Amino acid sequence: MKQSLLPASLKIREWFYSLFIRQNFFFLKTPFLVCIATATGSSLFAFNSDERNTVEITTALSVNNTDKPTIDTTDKLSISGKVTDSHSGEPLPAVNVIVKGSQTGVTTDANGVYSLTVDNDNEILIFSFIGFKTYEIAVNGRIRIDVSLESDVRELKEVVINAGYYDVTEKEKTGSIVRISEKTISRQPIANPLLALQGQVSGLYVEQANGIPGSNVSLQIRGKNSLQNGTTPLIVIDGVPFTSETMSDIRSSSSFYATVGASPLNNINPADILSIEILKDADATAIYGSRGANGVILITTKKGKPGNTKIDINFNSGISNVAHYEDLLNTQQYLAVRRKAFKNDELTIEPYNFDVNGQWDTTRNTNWQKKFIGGNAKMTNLQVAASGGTEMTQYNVSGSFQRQTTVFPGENTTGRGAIHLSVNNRSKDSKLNMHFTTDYINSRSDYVGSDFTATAMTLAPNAPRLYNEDGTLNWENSTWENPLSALEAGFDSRVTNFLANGIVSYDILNGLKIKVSGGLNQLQNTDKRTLPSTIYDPAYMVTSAESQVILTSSENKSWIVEPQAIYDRQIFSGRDKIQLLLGGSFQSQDKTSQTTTYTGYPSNNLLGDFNSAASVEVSAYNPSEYRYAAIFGRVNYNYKEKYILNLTGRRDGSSRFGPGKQFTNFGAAGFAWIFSSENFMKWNFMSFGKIRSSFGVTGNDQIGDYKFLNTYSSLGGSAYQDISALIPTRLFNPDYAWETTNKFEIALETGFLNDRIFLIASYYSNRSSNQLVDYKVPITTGFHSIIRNFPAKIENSGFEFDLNTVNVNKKIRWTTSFNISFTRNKLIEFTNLESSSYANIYVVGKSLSLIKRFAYQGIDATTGIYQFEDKNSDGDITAADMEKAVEIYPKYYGGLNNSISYKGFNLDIFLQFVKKNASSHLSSFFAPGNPANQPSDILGAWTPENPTATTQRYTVINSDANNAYNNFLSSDQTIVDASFVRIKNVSISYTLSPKWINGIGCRVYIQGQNLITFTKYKGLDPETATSSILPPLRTIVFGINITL
Amino acid sequence: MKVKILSLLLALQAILSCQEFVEVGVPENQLISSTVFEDETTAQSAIAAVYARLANNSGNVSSVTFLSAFSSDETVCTSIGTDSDMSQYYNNSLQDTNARLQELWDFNYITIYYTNSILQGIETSRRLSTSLKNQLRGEALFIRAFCHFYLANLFGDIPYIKTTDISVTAMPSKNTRTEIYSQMIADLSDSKSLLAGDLSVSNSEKTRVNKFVSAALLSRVYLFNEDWVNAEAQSTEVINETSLYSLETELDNVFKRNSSEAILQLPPSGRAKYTNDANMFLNTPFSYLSEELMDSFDPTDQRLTKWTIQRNIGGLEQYSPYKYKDTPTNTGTVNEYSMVLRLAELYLIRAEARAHQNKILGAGGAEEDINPIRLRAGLEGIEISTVGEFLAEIGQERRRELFTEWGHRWLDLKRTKTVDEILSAVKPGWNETDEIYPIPRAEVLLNPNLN
Repeated sequence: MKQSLLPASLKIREWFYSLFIRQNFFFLKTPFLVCIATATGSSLFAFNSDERNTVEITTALSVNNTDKPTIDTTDKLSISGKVTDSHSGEPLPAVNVIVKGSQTGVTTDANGVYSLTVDNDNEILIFSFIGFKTYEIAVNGRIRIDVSLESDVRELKEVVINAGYYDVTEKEKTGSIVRISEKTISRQPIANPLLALQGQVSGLYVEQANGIPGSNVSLQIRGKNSLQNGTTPLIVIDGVPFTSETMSDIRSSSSFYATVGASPLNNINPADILSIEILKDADATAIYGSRGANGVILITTKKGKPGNTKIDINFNSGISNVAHYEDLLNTQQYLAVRRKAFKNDELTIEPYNFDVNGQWDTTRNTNWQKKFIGGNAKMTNLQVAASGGTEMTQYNVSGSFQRQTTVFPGENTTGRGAIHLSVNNRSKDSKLNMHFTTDYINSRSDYVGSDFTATAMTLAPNAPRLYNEDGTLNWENSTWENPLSALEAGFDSRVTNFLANGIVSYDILNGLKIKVSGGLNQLQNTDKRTLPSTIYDPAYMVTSAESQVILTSSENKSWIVEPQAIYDRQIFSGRDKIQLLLGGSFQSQDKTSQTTTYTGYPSNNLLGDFNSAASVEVSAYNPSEYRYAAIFGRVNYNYKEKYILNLTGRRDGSSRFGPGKQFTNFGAAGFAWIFSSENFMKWNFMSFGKIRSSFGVTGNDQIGDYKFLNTYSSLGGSAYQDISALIPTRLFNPDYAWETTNKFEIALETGFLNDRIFLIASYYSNRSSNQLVDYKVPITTGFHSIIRNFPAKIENSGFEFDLNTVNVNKKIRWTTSFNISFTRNKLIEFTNLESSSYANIYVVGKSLSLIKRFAYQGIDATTGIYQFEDKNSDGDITAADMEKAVEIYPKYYGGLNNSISYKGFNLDIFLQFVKKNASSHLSSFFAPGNPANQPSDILGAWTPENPTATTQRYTVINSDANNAYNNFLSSDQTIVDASFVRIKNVSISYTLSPKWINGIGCRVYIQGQNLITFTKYKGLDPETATSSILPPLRTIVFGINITL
Repeated sequence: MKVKILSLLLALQAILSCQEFVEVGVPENQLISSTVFEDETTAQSAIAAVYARLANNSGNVSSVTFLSAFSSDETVCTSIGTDSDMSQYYNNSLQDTNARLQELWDFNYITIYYTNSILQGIETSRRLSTSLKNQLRGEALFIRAFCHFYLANLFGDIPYIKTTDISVTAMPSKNTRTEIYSQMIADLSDSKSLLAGDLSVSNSEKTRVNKFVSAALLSRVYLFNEDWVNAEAQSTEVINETSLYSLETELDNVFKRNSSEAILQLPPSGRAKYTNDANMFLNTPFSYLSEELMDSFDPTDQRLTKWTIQRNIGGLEQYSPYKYKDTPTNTGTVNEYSMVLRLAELYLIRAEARAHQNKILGAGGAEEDINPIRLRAGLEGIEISTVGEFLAEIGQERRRELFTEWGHRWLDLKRTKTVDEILSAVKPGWNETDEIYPIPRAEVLLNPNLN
């Protein structure tokens, strides 16, 4: 209800404005209001202005003729004002303004202006906006309330952290918990939320298995506590544990995923995530008991906020490609190497040596990397979200769609649609609180069955063309298997993921609350792999009678119910705080998967029709059930906000253990001393200081179900002469028991110069014993492994540093955050190591990631073949000579982020770094001279004339040379430095001034991922450290974000 | 207050029910092991699984048949395709990290574990009939010996595994050749004595081990052990069982299902209508028959036309084995089974055993055994009286008769100690040490006793 302007001159308006608003002369309000009232004839004015200081009359109120302008309390009071950013002075649109304790709420318009009505002048207004500190102010009879909000980025201490069963502020936390906010996630163009964590969190090591969208991601929090398996942290989404195991089946899966599987976390939309918390130490994880040993990752999805409906539309689109290609031989070099190899081996070129005998055009030269992995993958994202609500009920709803393709030839797309809904409600007396969230994600992908990277690397450069002129596959007179025949195969993967959870809490008594949270997750995956006969060379006359369709359907259903009682109160008249928590947890997970093979079709056009298959065979059927029950508790005592003691405990039972071994106890104690609150520690430059420490016991039950049972199961699909077949299921072990990890941590948190410099330094030491592992055994036992408790003690220790600084905080704001983790891993004890299967693998006192290799000794001067130390002096180089220990574990890793903002501009540059060793890129190739292409660094091999070469003589078939090459790849010489510094992410965004487009918030951005990598590593990529799988891709996207 | 008490009660209830809550039953796709051998049907299923494994492996890409043919002078590896592990067999430059080597090793030891698991199950079983127990024991013992036979002949000294006890099987030491052979003989003798001498168990097919199957392998083991008397005795026992076994007169019928010559044959795996052998040799571009093998045939030898076929491999006209003719294009009935043991081999074993005992001519002489094989192939009978020459001729006959079957050529070259002499002449990469396949590195690392 804006009315016309005051007929006064601009000067007067400016004066009013500066007097009332800029100078904060509110204490003078009474006389001035009277004065204005007189001047305008019993009307009061409130002012609003934009940058040009135009003053508008927004509301007029009647004033009594007394000396104090009292407002008629029976009438409502209209208040208006403007909200600005304290740091830039820019108006802030879309700020939520609500009246405390009521359902009244509005949001500011494009000019930062709001107006609302309150019932009386004692109300309190709450201003909140993402990224800014929430501000409360009492109305006190004012009608004009202008507010400038302070950005809360620096207020680390006040950030509320989700610790799973309870919340805690950064200031008062006793454990090691890191929070990654929506902001960090949203500036990265990634499809899997786990990838957003790469390099961001000290102590968390995230590795991408390959560059194919959807592939698995490996996570390790504070090192390998377990030997081979079960090192994945527990992932909990809105209170519901989420599977981190891949659901792919090797038979039906696209072979992209064959070794690593598809990551289930692909089925979580990163744009719906509000925050991710990483729980590291005993204090934070012991309440998760048996599943806390590897750390816990808590994902919290977005919730609604009070205020007017806000629509947020985000669209981006971009491309991904391979950032670095390997330098390979061209045809001329390749043929020279081959011919030399034949000469060295005194071998004649045979009719089947197509690459060198002229069958293949020896003048052809193709860059296969360009052909197979040189494409541009396209990526498009659209997200539409609406949120809002009243003080009592808020909602957040979003829908999104994402589409991605690959760099490979052929059509390969994956699409994902997601719906997120979150509703909060509380009763008028605030006693009953309810919260519900559901997510539904549906994805589909049709990647073909191959990663062409290995082919791109090793295919001879003079190999024939891929397609004939008529567009059909070229089989070059049956002299090769055309790699693109893989494109004839089909793959169709469909995943639906349904997540729902609800929390209901009720305050029974003063400070006592009961709460029940429950959730369910249903993840369904159907993979269909189609292998038509056209994948074979037509010369072999394979018909559709051999065509196959392999179908895997799997379903993972789980539910969880956790009743809890929470007691929270201040004692000794507010000096101390006590918090008690007692809860129970009941969880159930049912998994089934079935793989069916359909063989023999009348025509390849009927592969879609299962009914047409001549034979149907169930190749695998795996049901499993997992039950888990626990009681847990927490006692937290906060003395004068200086000393905080946090005790947590849990008694756990898991169906994964045999009778009598199902239950065990875990617990931890954490302590924090906020010494900056002590009087004797009041220094000016130090604004915050805290020492915290914790120790406790956590466990691990990631071993799979039923491993204690001695059973027979069906030999998938096979029968013999109509008798169904039963095989022993496993090497069973009824006696294995809980594995435990003792964790200790001590940390110092300090803030300087009003927390503009904030440093956290921590040291941890985790000792795992009674390791529950898939103990490797030789196949003479009938199996490759047995589940048992490892008679070893393993220590993971390390230092972690997190530094956050605000370098400039003027019109330009520049902040830096840096983290680095130094890790160490040591085998402390191993009973009877010498006589165990691990005698050749581990050394007591050394790291677990140490690997034993042949000791390289150069090239033999007479034979030109690699030589190695004959450790046991038996005259032969055998596996027993692999005694040279080499370390491959990352020594340190971390990230550095710089964030600069100026007016509407934001620039973020994030560097990730890792110091590690890995297998040389040569491991992806064959011995030089074999019929496969090579990296160019094998040129200039040994000859009698070139005795100082680093590559041994070329060979085709010579056993000694081939063996030596094989050993070379297993020697210390081929463990190389694979450290790297990567410009992981650059994000540039510009927020258009709202007044330009009629109040619509608009932000445009460019984001780049994996832009440049600095490394000495010669292969495609140091992270995957191989040249046979697709490296993480470089991605650049452009986007626009509109807020209504 | 009521709410409080109620919630307390609920919590208490919850805690009490924890124990029950975390107990899950046996999954619906598994049977408790001890019950498997208390029921006739499930006990039969346990042995069926072992046969199914053998059937699945026989003639496939990681079988003795396919791989050892490369190692000897039987087949040539074309290097077409993506499987580089095959060419290591062909070039006799087998590395201990070769995936196909690991598969070969794993297959046999896993099968051995299954047989030991059955033997152990029968031992403690109370409800199975004695006759079924005997039959299952006999079959399991045979298969255990059979797997060890190939392990020992491919890898040299290896551990002979007789138990499922992990404290024994996790770190076993190698047994010597003598130990292995005496254990094989013991197992096979036991097996033979436990089994019936008919085809009742297998519905008149030759798909299960019976007394004569054990005798047949036993005779081979004696031959390899140079125990000529026993080799002759065991083979005679089989050859004399004419009601069950006789040489096929038509070469085309030898590898047919239920051929009269078959002693043990394995049906195609699953629902396939063709043998793995045919699939590998006729349906893939990986191999073709070597010039040396082709040249060893007399031009009039019927086996040349009936058991080999010319086909285009990588633009080259080459010959492939054609003993098995049905490829995956066959969707009708199953006509062929993969042969494991057949009577022709028994004749050749006896011929050799007799020759070594200097029994060559006349009744009960080696000549009587080799000539039926030659005549069937359209050749003339031989008349050689000197032992040396005769043995050399048997070697050639075995090569021509048994080519691309279960690595016979490779094993024979090693057994007769001619491998070095013969292969060094035709294989450019040949080394004396290539005679023994290396034990997979992964296994040596897990069990240093295998070094």
